[in-house]
Amino acid sequence: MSLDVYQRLLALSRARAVPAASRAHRHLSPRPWVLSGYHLAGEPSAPVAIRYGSFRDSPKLLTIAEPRDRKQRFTALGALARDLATYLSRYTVTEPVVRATGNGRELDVNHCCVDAPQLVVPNEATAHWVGLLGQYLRTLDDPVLQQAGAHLGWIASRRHLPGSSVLLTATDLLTTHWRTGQLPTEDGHLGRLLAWIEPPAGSDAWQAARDAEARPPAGPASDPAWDQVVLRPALERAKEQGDVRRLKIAATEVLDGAWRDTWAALDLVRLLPPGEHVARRWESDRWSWTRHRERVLAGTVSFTTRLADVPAYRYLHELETRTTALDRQMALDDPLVMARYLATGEAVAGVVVKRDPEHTITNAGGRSVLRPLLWVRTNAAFDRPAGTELWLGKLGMTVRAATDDTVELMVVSGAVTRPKLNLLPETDTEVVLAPFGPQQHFPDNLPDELPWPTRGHRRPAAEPEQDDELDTDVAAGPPTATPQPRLSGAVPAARTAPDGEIDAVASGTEAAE
Amino acid sequence: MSTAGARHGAAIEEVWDRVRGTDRAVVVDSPPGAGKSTLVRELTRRLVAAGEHVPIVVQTNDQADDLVIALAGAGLNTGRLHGQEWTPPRGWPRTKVRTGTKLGELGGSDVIVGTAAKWAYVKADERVWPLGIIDEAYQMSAAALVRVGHLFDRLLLVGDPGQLAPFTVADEHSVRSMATWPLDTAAGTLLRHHPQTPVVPLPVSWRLAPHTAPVISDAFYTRAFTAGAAPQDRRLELGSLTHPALAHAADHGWALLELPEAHVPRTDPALVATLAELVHQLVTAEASTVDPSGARPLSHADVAVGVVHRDQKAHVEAALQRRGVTGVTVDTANRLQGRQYEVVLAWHPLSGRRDASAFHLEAGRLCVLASRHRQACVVVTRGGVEEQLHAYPAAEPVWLGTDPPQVDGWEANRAFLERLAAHRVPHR
Repeated sequence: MSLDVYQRLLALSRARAVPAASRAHRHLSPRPWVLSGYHLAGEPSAPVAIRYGSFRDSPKLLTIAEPRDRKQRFTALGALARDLATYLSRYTVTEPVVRATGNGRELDVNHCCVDAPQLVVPNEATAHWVGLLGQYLRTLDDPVLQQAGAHLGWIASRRHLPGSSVLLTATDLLTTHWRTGQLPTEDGHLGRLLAWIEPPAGSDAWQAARDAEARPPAGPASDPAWDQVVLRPALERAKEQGDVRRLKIAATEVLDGAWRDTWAALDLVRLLPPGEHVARRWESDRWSWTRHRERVLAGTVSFTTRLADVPAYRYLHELETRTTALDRQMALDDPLVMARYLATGEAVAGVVVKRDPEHTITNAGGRSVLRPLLWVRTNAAFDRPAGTELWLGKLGMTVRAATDDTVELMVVSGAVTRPKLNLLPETDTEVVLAPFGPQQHFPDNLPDELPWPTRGHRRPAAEPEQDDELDTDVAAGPPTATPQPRLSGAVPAARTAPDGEIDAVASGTEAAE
Repeated sequence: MSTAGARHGAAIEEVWDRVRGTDRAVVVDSPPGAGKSTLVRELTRRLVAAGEHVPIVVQTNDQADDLVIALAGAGLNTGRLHGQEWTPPRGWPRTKVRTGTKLGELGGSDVIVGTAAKWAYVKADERVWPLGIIDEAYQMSAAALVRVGHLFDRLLLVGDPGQLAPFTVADEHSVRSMATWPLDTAAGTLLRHHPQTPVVPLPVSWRLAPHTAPVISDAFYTRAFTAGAAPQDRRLELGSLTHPALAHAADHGWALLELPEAHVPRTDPALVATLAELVHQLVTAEASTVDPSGARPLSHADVAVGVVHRDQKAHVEAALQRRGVTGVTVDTANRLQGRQYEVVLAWHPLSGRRDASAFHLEAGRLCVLASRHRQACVVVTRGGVEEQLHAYPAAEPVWLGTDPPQVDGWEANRAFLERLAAHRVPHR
């Protein structure tokens, strides 16, 4: 049974969204930079109005009377670029981070920004638009606009990395933490989504969602009727008479809904206590920001639209590592997320009713080794076969047998020596046995250049100095002599070592499939 | 020697000539059961006889173990490069084999076998082997090849182009936006960058029978192949009365067992129960399998259930355990690649689904499930798959920088179903 389907049906029958998480799984900055706006219909490169800032009650408003005029457009965007630079300048303070290198014999000091910026937009379309705006700005000669473009490019590139919180969309924030009874595509409408989560008193979700749809869209595409009736006269007036008041009033009014909805989404998620791993994932964002800043300062930042060669393989490795890590961390952080695995039968919840810590088996080498047994009473029959592997923290175990209400497990790692037997759960303890073991961390072990079977005879053109095309944060460190901490995976390995989350990298890893 | 045998022998000699020639790489396309393992063993033997050290890259630990056992059986000094948690399987040879996690521990071995994931971590100290062999080169991803390619000056890639394409846990769309496609197959990426590489097809399947081979060849392969066995060579005899689907499959090689049409969860309980019941009947039917080497009783190890998802595997396995049946392989298409059984019961990937997603339409998935058997294959499904196919025409986007799959999944599914229509057995 899928818990997701059940929750959607439940939401449908109650006409109200149900919680899908009991922890906040994204980092929420105390001072995010929120942005929403419209562009001319069919012209993403022609912004008409953008509302932005990190103060909910005093947003900045940028309007462009003739956005198709490059001069006007970039003058206006210059103001946004300067405000962005001001906001980002708050995140330049660094702290030294000491980590062991060379098998722990040497210490290495790196500097990491203590905090990083966070951009929040209403929906996916706006997040995509932010990336586009960054691209346009980077092509200009003006250094201020160029730098703003580089920053927006970095921000937008983090969007595709599972677990990153640099660029949040309000719709993604809400769908991560709630399930509605409408179609997943309908969840892409921020107003409708909020209506399902917090319908106004006296109206049910369906009515509230219909009302929300009647309000101006969250952008960046505007309502065609509004374009015709309000925007067109306002633009004409601004163009012909140089009077932008009407345009500003119209923009303020129409962008207000998305602005408030985005903050409301942040408020809702802020009510949840943060998941335990969130700070670590944010740390990886901080490292990325630190190195992005260093590259901007050194003038070596570069972007290309499509990754190729070694960086493409490196990016795949990072995506895979992050995807697995995020699934695992969310489940371990949040009982309501773990419940999804209980519902499918991949995880087991129950009470330890019996233990046999002295149980031994004979291993392949003929030696007798300690393999304690546990019996766990469950509410529902465990429907997985014997041999299934489960984990309780660092304790690895395999299922030996299962009846309608009891699972017999053999501990195979984590507590198989006498000194560690105290790590076994006591009888009468409630336990949740999860399909997640200690986090695996494999270095990407990619060569510096592609080997002959995977490239043609023609040598590829010289690569950009920094091959961080999408700025994936796994690129080689800044051009300094100091080796940079490796950031593939959620966080650098050495700094997570103390709690054993990431074990020392095994010299060899076997294929999983 | 039969004509099939002669064609097969000629193909092997062609590969050998190519390997001894000047081509930097050679690709061998091998349909299911076309003697790929024999080819690898034979070429390795010849290379060792010629005084070479032969590194072999395989994809899974099971494949590595199987190959080492075969090579040691052929009298070759073989080293098994393995990870920390590896334990020797049952029947592990006592002589001729060395094992270790590092190259240094395998001193004196003429052949070294390891998984691609393990080779990627090998500290070879700049050592480059003159020729490396990659087994299951269509199962291996370009991302894996990138990590081992520098170890070999020349390569022989052997694989089955009808197998499953490499997959990722990451969001595929993020990866698709790149100019390089890291999830291409190792053989595919090599052929793309070295288009002059010779491709030698093995023309004969020794696994599939004359009446089952054409279905697989037509539906899933661009290079046609035939069965090596003669029509009267093989027979599956069922001792007692069994389910009509089993009886039909024993006679015809195929059966398509259709349960009533329904949209059901992925772990369809009725399908689980049906599969478990079929396995139970099969292993208690006093069945025997007959081929030119003689007749022998069908053992549990001769039977496999092929499924699509891991939770289906778990449910079928648990259902078998409840019936007291052990020793029957239950696994996903991914893990059944390269394996062979007498009888296979397959869970149709589109059974009971509302949609026909790219994952479930993939030609390789159905092909693997339908081509593991020597004697008979029973495909079990909910009814209505045909209508479902027609309701979801193939709509996969064409991606820049990647070659489209050789065989279209939608069309392969349709063609397979059409050929199996004659073997439809309604549910009782």
